[in-house]
Formats: sequence, structure tokens, C-alpha cells
Amino acid sequence: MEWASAFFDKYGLLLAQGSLDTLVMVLASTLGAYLIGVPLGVLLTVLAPDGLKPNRAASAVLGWVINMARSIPFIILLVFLIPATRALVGTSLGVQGAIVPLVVSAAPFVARMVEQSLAEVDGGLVEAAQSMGASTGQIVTKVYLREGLPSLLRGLPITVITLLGYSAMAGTVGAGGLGDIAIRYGYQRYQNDVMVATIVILVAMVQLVQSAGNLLVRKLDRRMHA
Amino acid sequence: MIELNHISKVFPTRSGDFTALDDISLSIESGEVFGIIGESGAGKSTLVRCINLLERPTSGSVVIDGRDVTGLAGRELRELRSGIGMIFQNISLFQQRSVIDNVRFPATLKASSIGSGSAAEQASRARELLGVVGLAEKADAFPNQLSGGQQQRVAIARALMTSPSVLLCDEATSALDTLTTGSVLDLLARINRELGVTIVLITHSLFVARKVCGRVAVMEAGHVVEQGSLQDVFDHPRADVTKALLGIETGKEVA
Ligand SMILES: Nc1ncnc2c1ncn2[C@@H]1O[C@H](COP(=O)(O)OP(=O)(O)OP(=O)(O)O)[C@@H](O)[C@H]1O
Ligand SMILES: [Mg+2]
Repeated sequence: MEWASAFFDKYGLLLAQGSLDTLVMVLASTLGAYLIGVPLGVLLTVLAPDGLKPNRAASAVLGWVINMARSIPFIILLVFLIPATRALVGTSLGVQGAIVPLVVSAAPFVARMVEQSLAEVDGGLVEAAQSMGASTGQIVTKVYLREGLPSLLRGLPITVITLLGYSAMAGTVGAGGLGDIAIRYGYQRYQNDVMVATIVILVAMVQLVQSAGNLLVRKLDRRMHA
Repeated sequence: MIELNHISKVFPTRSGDFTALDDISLSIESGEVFGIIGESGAGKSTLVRCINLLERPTSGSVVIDGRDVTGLAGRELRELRSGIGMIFQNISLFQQRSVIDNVRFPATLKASSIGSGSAAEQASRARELLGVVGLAEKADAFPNQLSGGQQQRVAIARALMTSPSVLLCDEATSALDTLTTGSVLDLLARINRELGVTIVLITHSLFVARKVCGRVAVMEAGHVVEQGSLQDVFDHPRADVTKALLGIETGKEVA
């Protein structure tokens, strides 16, 4: 007990600040990744050969760009994007600096997940909506996104948890957050207690995100309602 | 009146062009129940999908009430489609929407000025239609809580939401058991009689055709091989397919 309180006195603030930084990084980059990834995923779906507005060239280019972005390992992307990050947000350091590479790495991932979710929507529903006179935009919003919602929501915790992992990597190059603390104290100063504390916090965060995600799906998937 | 003039449909496939419809001409009178029968792959769905241009004919024209609609696109096409209801074999209700929201759906698209109205007007019309199909008490249920026959009746109510003058039914009862099929067919006949909706009904079941159709066309391999009143075609079949279809049916009934 005494040991614990001494530990908290010493590192409590540090860990709290680190957790907050990690949360901000992850939530902001999740938001950014969805703002970019959802439209891209919709485009992939609509432009596909069997989509609403098939366009072979455009869908090939888009698919190629997304695959490219996805094939660059995050740790390399992080370094590669430093100049672009500086130009965009003024710094490549800290929480702000980490958000740009996190968004760039997660947006194409989200795009593919969205594409996958929308592919699960029954083609018969799209056709039914067409037969009623729905426009392409209406089919996207009222059929694809609406009927695909439970599946889209199931992808959300996957993205958040992936970004949580990436944010720790970003920590190693000066982004702050729990990853930064784990490296600085645990690796460079051999303070295993601090390292273990960051791991415990990260595990708790992952559990929490997944449970919150499951709850959201249960609440919003209308099929399960009585 | 729906006139199909020299409709052909060619699908490009990997192994060359496939002619699904070959120079088909048909006319369907306003207010009748017109049956399209034929074996699987004959081209029935493709033909009916040409009426609301879900399928674009490769050549030929679709004329509805004297207006050539073959080339319609954009706003005009959506308006045309909102005036033609369609129901499908696989029912296709929106799983994430309640029964009443499914029925309201076509009106929320505002594809045409008719049948749109305010949310309250839409809701009251949707309730009225649910009454017509006998499911008023299921308004707030979700599709997965209904039986197949109930779901198809919801789909019928939904197809009627924009007060269409035509209802296209593609094997609407194929997924249902005999008893449920009977009740859905009774409903379609009543809609035809009481609302004056023209019904085009695809079926491979002679039982279905016999029960509701006034006139029928028999299709085989992209051609209409014979057409006429139900009586004529069934009592004096000329084409071999028709005889075969009738033969199969008789065989089944005996067995
Ligand atoms: N998009 C398509 N591309 C290529 N061929 C097609 C396409 N749609 C239909 N066909 C072909 O056209 C023919 C007619 O198909 P259609 O669906 O109209 O038949 P059907 O009479 O409705 O059969 P069923 O009773 O099995 O529903 C079939 O041989 C089918 O394989
Ligand atoms: Mg068919």
C-alpha cells in the first residue's frame, strides 16, 4: 500500500498527463480517419465495377492509392511525413504532430473497412430503392450507410484500438502519450514499474473501447430490438 | 397502357454476347393483371425490369401511357419509377427500419411530387396502407420479427406508398408456402380490383397464374412464344413449352 501511494505521488501526474495525451491523439485521429475514410470507402463502393456509378479507371486509381498508403509501415510513414506534418500543423512534435501521420495511416484502413461493411449490404435493397426512384446520393445515405451501420460500428473499436497501438509508436519519436512514457522510463531508465503501469492503462483502454463499441452496436442495431 | 416494342436485350459476357430478350413486343392494358410465365432463364425478370428501366433495352422502346420512356434519365427516370411499384422474390425490406418506416420510405425520396407530403401525412398514409394489407398492428415491429408472408405484405404496402398505377411482381410468392401464397395473391387481386392498379406478375407457377391473371404471355429463351387470355392459353396451348409447363403441372397434381 505504502509502495503504491509513493508510486502514485511520484508518477501519478505523469501517467495521467500521458493517458490524456494518448486519448486526445487517438480520438482526434479516429475522427480525422473517419472524415476521410468514410467518403473514400463510399467512393470505392460506388465506383466499383458492380457499383452504382461504375468507373473502372477511377476505382483502379483510388484502390491503388489506398493500397500504397496501407503498405507503408507506420513507423516509416511517421518519419516520412515529418515535413508534411510541419507544413500542416506547424510542428512535427507532440500530440499535434502525431495526429497527421495517425490520420494518414488510418484513413485508408478505414476506407477498406467501410468498403467491406457496405459490401455486406444486401444488393436487393439497393435495387429495391432504385426501383422506387432513389437517387445515387439517397441510396448511399438511406440504404448503404443506414443498413451498413451496425457493421460500420463494429469497425469503430477496431480502428480506435489500432490507433492506440500506433500512438504508442508515435510516442517514440516525440509525440508524447503513454508510449513516450513507456520508452523514456521503462526502456531508457529501466523503470519497470512505470512500464507496467502504462501497459495496465493501455489494456484497460482497449477493454473499455471494445465494450463501449459493443454497447453502441447493441443500442443502434435495430434488428435486435424487441 | 404499357407497350413494349421490339425489345431486345443483349448482355456482354466473357464468352461473348448473350441475347436474353430477342425482339419482344407486348402490350399490357391499364387495369389488367398480366402474367408472364416461362421456365427459369427464359428472360422474364429481364423483360419486366425493362418496364421501369432497371434494365436498359439494347434496342426497342418502352411506351407507357403513350409516352416513350426508353431514354429517360435523372430526375425524369426517378419520377417514372416512383409511379411504378415493384416487389421481389427476396422481399428486400430495410432491416434497420421499422415496418412503418419501410412503408413510408418511397415517399421520403421525394422522387415525385405525388405521394410525398409532410412526415405526418406520410405516416398516416403508411398506416392506412398497413391496414389495407392487414398489418396495422405491426407498424412498429422490425422486419426480422415478421413471417415471410407478413414481410411480403409489408413490401406490397411499401410499393403502394406513392400510389403507383402499375405494380411489377417478380416471383413475389415463390418464397412462400401455398397457404400464404394464396393470401398474398388475394391481396394483389383486391388491389387490382379496388385501386385499379395494373399488375404485371412473373411466375413459374401455373397455380399462381390461374388464380389471378387475366392474360398471360409464355416466354422461352428470350422469346414470347404465345400470349392471350388465360383461358385460351391454358385450354388450347400451342407452343411446346406451354404444353410442357401444363404437363409438368398436371403430373404434379396427380402425384
Ligand atoms: N446481368 C446479366 N448478365 C449476363 N446475363 C444475364 C444478366 N441478367 C440475366 N442474364 C441472363 O439472361 C437470361 C434471362 O434471365 P432472367 O433473369 O430474365 O430469367 P428468368 O426468366 O427471370 O428466370 P428465373 O425464373 O430463374 O428468375 C438468363 O440466361 C440469365 O443468365
Ligand atoms: Mg427471374
